[in-house]
Amino acid sequence: MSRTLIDISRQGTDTTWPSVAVEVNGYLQNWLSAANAQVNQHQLRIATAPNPIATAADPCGWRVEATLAQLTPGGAPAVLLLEVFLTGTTLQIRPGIGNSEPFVGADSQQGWVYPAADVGTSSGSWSTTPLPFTAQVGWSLTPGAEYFVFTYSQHRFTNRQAVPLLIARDQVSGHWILAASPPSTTTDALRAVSWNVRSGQPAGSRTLLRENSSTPIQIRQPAELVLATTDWSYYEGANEPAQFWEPLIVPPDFAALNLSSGAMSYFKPPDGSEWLAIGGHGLLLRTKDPTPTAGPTP
Amino acid sequence: MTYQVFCQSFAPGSWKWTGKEPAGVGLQLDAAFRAFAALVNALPNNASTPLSVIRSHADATANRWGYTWQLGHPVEPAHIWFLTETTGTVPQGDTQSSSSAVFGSALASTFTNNPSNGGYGSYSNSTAYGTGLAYLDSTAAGATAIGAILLIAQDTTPGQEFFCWALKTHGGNDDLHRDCCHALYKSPGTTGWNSIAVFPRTSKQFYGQVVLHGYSGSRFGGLPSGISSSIHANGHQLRSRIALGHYDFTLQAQGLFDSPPPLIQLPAPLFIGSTSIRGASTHFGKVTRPDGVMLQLGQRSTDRDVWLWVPTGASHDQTSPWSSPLALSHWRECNELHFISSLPPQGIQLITGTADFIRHFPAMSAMGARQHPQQGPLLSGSGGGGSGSGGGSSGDTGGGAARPSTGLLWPRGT
Repeated sequence: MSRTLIDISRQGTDTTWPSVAVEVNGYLQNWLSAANAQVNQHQLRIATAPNPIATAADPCGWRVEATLAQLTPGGAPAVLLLEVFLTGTTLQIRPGIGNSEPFVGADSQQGWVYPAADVGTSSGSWSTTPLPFTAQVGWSLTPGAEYFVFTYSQHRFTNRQAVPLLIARDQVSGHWILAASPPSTTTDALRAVSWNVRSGQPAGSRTLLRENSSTPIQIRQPAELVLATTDWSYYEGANEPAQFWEPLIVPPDFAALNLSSGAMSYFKPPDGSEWLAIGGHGLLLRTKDPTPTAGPTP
Repeated sequence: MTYQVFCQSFAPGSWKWTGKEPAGVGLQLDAAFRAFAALVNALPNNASTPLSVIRSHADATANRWGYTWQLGHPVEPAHIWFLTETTGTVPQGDTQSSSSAVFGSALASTFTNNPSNGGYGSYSNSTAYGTGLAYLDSTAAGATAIGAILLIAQDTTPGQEFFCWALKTHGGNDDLHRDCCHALYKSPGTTGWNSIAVFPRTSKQFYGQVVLHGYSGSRFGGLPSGISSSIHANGHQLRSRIALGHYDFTLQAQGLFDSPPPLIQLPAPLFIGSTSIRGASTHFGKVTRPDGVMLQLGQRSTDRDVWLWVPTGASHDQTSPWSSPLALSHWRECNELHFISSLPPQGIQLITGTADFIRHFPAMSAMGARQHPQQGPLLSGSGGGGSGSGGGSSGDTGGGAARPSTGLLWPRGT
């Protein structure tokens, strides 16, 4: 079994976020235990789990932490943070770095350290009106390509399509990437945090690397995150040295599509692979591998 | 050493693009290209894709100066040319002209080998992009303080052949220079030669461009402008080895892309992107690393800047007057830049932008729901899956926990 994809779509007549989040958390806990056993150099932890009795006014969601084998410049293990909380009608995403040393740049008033100055919070809306929604939970424990993903769509518009949780191994460094995209039409609403080996710094991202939709529509592999590198947090605003970076690449079960709307659309390219669109920002999840006999390129 | 970087300096007074002196820049560039062509043409993997020179500065008869190179291909060779030209009242090398030069391409069969067009011959069907160079003649009034450097980077390693020339002028007003480069290269996945020309634009110039050419099957033509979004201009980032899908649009109207298009991967030594915000020297930037040096081939640009990676150990061995560009005193160490190396691409598959129900199934359609890996089986009341084959994706996606028994959207009424 290389990957699992579970449909938890709801009719919506009696659906509350806490019930959905608690169900997802069950799958997450199981996967996380297995992933920690398998990737024992890094440790994932659910610091805060969804509160099953949360009211609409209570924050309900996750704080996930990843402690990496990578050391910060100060010599402590790097800790990645991701918070995903629904409060009322707002689903808010916050990526962060748990290590403040030797951080000298700007951080939030709460002391939250963002992976890059322009990779802060992102948010989108959740309708409390009873609505049917489709939702999927997927994961893989393929060595080196582990991931867990939770995605939903409340209706066809991009402002109701989200990937509230994406935890995946970076295909270059082997570090965990913590990411999420809220239901938002903003093309760079995605938020991700990881650690870049070559630059020795946190690596943040707010969008997939992809063509714009005016070029031919294409499924692009590997799915790469555009690094956010401006005004890097670990340096003062000016005269930071030139940096060399390796790309951030999510596992091969993902691809980037230069269409934004259409979560839960299904694609069958000629190589025999099949892909499910998730979220509102062009991420595809592979549901079927390519046919091995796919012809070579001319 | 198969990767080499070397240069020649042309001092003010002797710097003159618009001339055919044997020691001048035009024929020195021609000689360097011929030497590279001889090396790579001798490689077995280039037997069907030889490079040759059709025109050079030596053929210039009037008001055009530059080169035409033939790129061999098993189906049909192509020509690619770079010419400065005098258009109307705009002199060659006018610093603020957007059309004092042209970068063009055509299939070799459309070429008429005659002395027209300033000695460069004529084509029955060609495409051309207007561009510009600046400060082309230091013997001309107003440019007597201008010198230039011709920089060549080449790799003759089979499979990663690469030839890049860059022209860097110096002296005078920094904002008026027009440093540029043109590279030929081989990319995995395609047979023929691909080409990229980067003409950055400063605030004093009308426009700049990245001109890409490559083969797809027997077609030679411009690559799409996807580089605009592939190279994220978000904050002085420069990227190497960007993968571009090389496709034409003839199949799109039919809604089918059943043949995987080849990928063009831009050459690894070139880092292309934006340096417009701040930081870099305007056009002689350098970043020194423990494992090599990054040199700025272009210039600070609101379009695309281009830098060259010169790893420690790269050869600079060429006979005089060629020498190592690292010995030049023009370079200035730069900061606030981000260089990102890409991994080799795994693939691009083209699909239609709108539902065709062959490759693309929107979720909010009956056909889309039928094809859906989860909704399809539920709607059909069997485990068959949307593919109709009885297998579908269920083999890949099975094994999870059972769905909740109540409150489910699909299937309705149960």
